[in-house]
Amino acid sequence: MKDSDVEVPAIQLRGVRKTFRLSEDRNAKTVLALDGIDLTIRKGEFLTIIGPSGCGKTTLLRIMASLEQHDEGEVIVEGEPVSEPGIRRAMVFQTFGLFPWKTVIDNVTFPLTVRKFPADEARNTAMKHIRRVGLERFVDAYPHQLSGGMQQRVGLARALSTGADILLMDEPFGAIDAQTRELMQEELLRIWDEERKTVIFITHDLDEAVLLADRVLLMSRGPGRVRELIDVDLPHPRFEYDVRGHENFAKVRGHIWQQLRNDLVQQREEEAS
Amino acid sequence: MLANLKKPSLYLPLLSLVIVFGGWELVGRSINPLLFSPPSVVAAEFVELYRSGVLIEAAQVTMRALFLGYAMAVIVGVPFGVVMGAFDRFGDILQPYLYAIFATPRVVLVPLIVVWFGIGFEARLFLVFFWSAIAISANTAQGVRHARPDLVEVARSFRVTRLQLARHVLIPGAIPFVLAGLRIGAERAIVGVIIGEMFLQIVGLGGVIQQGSSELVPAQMLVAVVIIASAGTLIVTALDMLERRFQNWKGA
Repeated sequence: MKDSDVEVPAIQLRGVRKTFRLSEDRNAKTVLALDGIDLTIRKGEFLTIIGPSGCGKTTLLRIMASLEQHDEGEVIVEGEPVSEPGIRRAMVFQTFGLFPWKTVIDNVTFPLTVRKFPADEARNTAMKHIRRVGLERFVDAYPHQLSGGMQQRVGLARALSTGADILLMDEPFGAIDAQTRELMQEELLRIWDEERKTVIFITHDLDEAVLLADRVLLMSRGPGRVRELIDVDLPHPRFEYDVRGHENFAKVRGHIWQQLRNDLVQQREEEAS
Repeated sequence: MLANLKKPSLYLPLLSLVIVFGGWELVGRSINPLLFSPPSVVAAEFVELYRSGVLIEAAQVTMRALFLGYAMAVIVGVPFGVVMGAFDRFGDILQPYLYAIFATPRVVLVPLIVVWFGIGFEARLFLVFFWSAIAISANTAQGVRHARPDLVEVARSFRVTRLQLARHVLIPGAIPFVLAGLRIGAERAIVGVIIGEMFLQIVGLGGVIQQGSSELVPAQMLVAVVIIASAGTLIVTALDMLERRFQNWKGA
């Protein structure tokens, strides 16, 4: 697994830097959002990204999705530098991003429809993934008729049906109630266990970060940088035992919290002075 | 409260109609018949005007200008609005003029319209078409411009072409706005046609009102008023219902 020389990494970031202008004005002040990001994400790895708010984790993910352009550095997906969204990557959005005028099935087939897949093939693929997330009874429902958890299941089914082998998930369970979230974490682990897609998953929930990840990327802010990469040594499949009760869980969680806490305290002191 | 607004019940509106008509009848009987008429007299007048064929002819004249002008407004207004919304600069340039025209009372332009189009059918058609088209364009443009950025991004992440973006995201997203434009445009169209009939050539239902006024037959005026009000309510309510059906398309 560690032999990254042999296997082409899923995503590689080299010296990625990103600044934002504070307004549309050309001469407006700029803010350095990300600086010197070097990161290699292995194929089939589940990477979670956590950090204080404003550390640029969403920007980083959007750069990996090519939805945002970086100013310097390189983004390499499966060995090739990219600058446009591609079919090997699929995004799952925090606010689900479902089209209100499309039914569940039409939302899920959408990525295939725009790629001109034959209708029945698109439908079969979509149905397979709709069944996997347990929504076969709701294929003809509209998003507003579904709960948040169900809507995100549609979002997940849509990303899966693209056939992409890299899933980019931007706080996908952030807008979902706590109990449903636990259930969905379990479902996601199950799906990941079946397909071993590369998953890059942003969260602000410490438990979630540790529970899901092979590695946790801890970021710091001002500008956003990689602070630490932490291996999570917890056996798979994780949906089969009480991960939170495992001693390594507490150890890793404690370690990350310590770092995060330092950052937060420091940040508060800076803001106060 | 909100639930009531969403599903209007028939009970209260009917009750209010009974009370209003009842009150009208009572008050109407006690007023000089040259100034006002109770519903019973209006109803009798309606039957007479209907039998004589005056009403049918007037309604036809009105409806012809109304529907033709409105149809033209929809056909021109929607695509124009799409273009305005899709090309920001174009929209920015036109916007102040559209708002100015939209905000100007049409009556002040009537003399100018007479100079351009005369006082006949064309002038009335213009009165219906122009303001209605502006309302439809402005709303459509707003709908296209206010496409939800999150959904545009979703589409981009799946590598849509410009055409696919328009078809799957921009146009469906604009539909609630277009429908609002169609409703406002219909209101404008109805007012436009009546203005034309009352202040240009005295014809149609607007003409029936003017005639009733000059001949001091309030019942005749009221017949036309009731017909215009009913037709207007019907059209606007129908469009309003259509608009509600698409409410869900606006938000997540």
